[in-house]
Amino acid sequence: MFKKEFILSYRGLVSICVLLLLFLFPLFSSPYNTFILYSGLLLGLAAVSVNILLGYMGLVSFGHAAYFGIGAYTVALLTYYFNIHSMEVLLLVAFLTSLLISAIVGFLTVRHTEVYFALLTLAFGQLFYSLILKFYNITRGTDGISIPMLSLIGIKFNITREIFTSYYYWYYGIPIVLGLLLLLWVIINSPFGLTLKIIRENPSRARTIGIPVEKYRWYAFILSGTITGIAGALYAELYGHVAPDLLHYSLSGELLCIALFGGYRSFIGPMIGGVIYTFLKSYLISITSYYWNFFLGIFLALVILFFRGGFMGGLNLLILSIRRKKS
Amino acid sequence: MTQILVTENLKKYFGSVHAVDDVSISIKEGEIISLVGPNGAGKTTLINILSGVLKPDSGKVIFLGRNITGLSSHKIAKIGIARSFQIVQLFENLTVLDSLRSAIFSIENKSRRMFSLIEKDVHVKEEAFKILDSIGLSHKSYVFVKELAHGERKLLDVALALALKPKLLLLDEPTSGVSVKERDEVMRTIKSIIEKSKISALIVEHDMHVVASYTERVLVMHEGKIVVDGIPEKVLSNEKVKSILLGV
Amino acid sequence: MIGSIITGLLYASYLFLICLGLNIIFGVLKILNLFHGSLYELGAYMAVTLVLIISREGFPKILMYPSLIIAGLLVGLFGIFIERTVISRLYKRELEAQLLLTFALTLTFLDIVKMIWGLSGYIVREPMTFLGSVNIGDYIYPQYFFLLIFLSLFIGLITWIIFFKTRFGKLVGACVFDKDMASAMGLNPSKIYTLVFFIGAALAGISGALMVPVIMTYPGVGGEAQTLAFVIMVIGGLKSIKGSLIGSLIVGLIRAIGIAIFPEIELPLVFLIMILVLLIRPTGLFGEA
Repeated sequence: MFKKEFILSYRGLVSICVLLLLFLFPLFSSPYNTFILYSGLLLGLAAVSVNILLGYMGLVSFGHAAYFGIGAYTVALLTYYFNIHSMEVLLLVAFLTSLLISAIVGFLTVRHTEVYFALLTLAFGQLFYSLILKFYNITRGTDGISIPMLSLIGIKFNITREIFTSYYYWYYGIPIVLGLLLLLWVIINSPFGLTLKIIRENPSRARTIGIPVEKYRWYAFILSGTITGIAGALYAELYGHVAPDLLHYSLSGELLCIALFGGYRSFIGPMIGGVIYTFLKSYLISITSYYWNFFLGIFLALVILFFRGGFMGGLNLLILSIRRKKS
Repeated sequence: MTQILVTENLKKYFGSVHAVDDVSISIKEGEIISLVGPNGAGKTTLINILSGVLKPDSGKVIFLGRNITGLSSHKIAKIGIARSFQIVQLFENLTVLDSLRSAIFSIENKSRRMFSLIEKDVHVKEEAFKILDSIGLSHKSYVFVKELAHGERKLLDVALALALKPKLLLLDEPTSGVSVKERDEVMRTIKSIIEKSKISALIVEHDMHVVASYTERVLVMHEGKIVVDGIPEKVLSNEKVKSILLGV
Repeated sequence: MIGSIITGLLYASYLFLICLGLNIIFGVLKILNLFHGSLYELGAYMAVTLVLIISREGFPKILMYPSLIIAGLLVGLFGIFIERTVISRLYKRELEAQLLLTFALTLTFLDIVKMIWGLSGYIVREPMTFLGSVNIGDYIYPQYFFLLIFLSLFIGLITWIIFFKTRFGKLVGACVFDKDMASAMGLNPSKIYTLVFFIGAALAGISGALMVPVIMTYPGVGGEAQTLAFVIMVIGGLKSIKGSLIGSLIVGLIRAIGIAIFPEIELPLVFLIMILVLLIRPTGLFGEA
């Protein structure tokens, strides 16, 4: 990927421009827009994770928001009850918690496919949602928990929350997001990733060439849940507040829609989907205040009905037709 | 000559239908055997049992001296039995090369590797091209499977099985749907690969010309039982066999 | 205790109807309808409007009750519209398309409700207060509760008769069993699908309408009904009417008794049971695959 040919190709140039843009973003953009982009990238990361199951394995996890919320609530509860303020420690614990829970849930759910998998993951998601919602004494229920400014790499910041979020926390979190994205990219393009693809294409053939299909589904589930959990943990500090809705199936639905809308057959599609979706949503909220769901819903419905390849699918078609016109 | 595979009194019922009814066969190393019989005789069910897709209701399957009865299909694939399918089972949205590589990664126990890129494994790529060359599909390496012609799909189906470096190859109607002209080509290719690697093969076939020209022994299956076992010339000229195969 | 049981039966009743609709749509059309809660909500809002009209225009109060049923039937008509325009495109699509499209519709619908009926909720108790109450033991219960329970059983019975005892039911069965064969024999599967969706939507709408006097009607009230309907469908058994009945009884009673005894655990418990059923017996208590 770091070969000269790649860097000079269109993809390489676009990637470098995007990286430059991300690096310079807080310097020329408002704190609000930085915040929106940051949320979009985190949701995008979660969507890329969900897409490991959806696009690469053909499994619809309708309870994935739970891992996002678990990551977020791990951060919240640790800061609230144990006064831990080190972001690294919190990320580590969030990582371990979502690893453990997705391992357990994954183990129980991957034997089942199609409808039953969707229903089971939905049920688990709602189970965690209702636990967080109802045990008010521990989780503060619908009031949620506020998260203070945390220390990054041991540094305690004595500045406004706004500057912290749009500069220091940005330069802390974005490399993590990009690093995780790179990690996922390598995994998808590894023998393991290829095995996941053949499981989606033809599970029984995969078995007869020696692949224990359920085990690989389990590994994919754990990978997906864990990365989503880390995204949630980062989100908690970004947003400064957690609420049970982070675990509700409507967020799961949103993540799946984002993956679909960005392009579920592509790797980077869901990430692009996450960014566009978040900006679109914030724009709609600013102009309609109460009715953004209406437009969002119609938009998503049109994408599902008529633009199955999503954004990346459309982009690919565009590139193909340009190439055809040239030759 | 060693026995590669022995089955003892295999039985498989679907309700009151005896799909496989007390089947005891043996296959020696390097033998190429055909399995014939009318539709519904139980041939595919037998293949399914041998490849671990189905579990028998009773009886044993012994492979290389080891009892493998009831072992799951992915384990059986790893210990040396590979199969192709009557209706081809392929990875439609993958390229031909990637399909083959996935099988090679599997048999070399590299499927779990998460942190190395596929392209970096030169050895696996070479192995894949070797197989593609031997079946004549290397010019289609980067083509998506769903875009292949029918005969090519059949070949790829067999190639995936061969990629597992099996000791026993189970082919379920490898020439069905292939034009009569191409059948000889396909079978010649398959047979030369099999003979070079000294693989044993059990081939389900309906084409008696293929049976006669490419296999050395014929098993005739009827209503779940093996009724005749012998060399093609004798078996195919047998009146009883003719009436079974014609469904009379 | 009796109080909890009666409340439990009340919950069971409305859940039974909405779950029945969901189950019918899944059983015949093979669609997991995430939009079902919105149909419930629409029924509630339509009922609110009709009852308020009756109140304002001074029509005889007795008309409130048929108007609840009519509200449900109107939702059925709306269901026909939705089925023809959107749902029918999903029959050939993958599971994720079904789930996400119906999910997207729910989002859209949430705001349509806000646009038409406003942001704040409605409390319309008249159909309940009009009937007065009855004494049972130490407690007083609205007679409306019993009307609701009776109506839901009655409607359930009618639905059962429609699907199992009429010619229409046999036609539906043929379509479910083998759609292509059915159309080759001269049946029109798409018309039958539309009718089935009408019934499913009407059931959801009636459920919402009947609950209007009991709880507040607000944007998003269908959400919880939707989730619980899924739970019951799983517990009772996919595609089983008897299962929906027993399942809604189980869930209704658990909710009522749970809220009384140990409120925190009540909702998680419901989902836990759903998980256990899916793991141990995926087809549910009475369902078939």
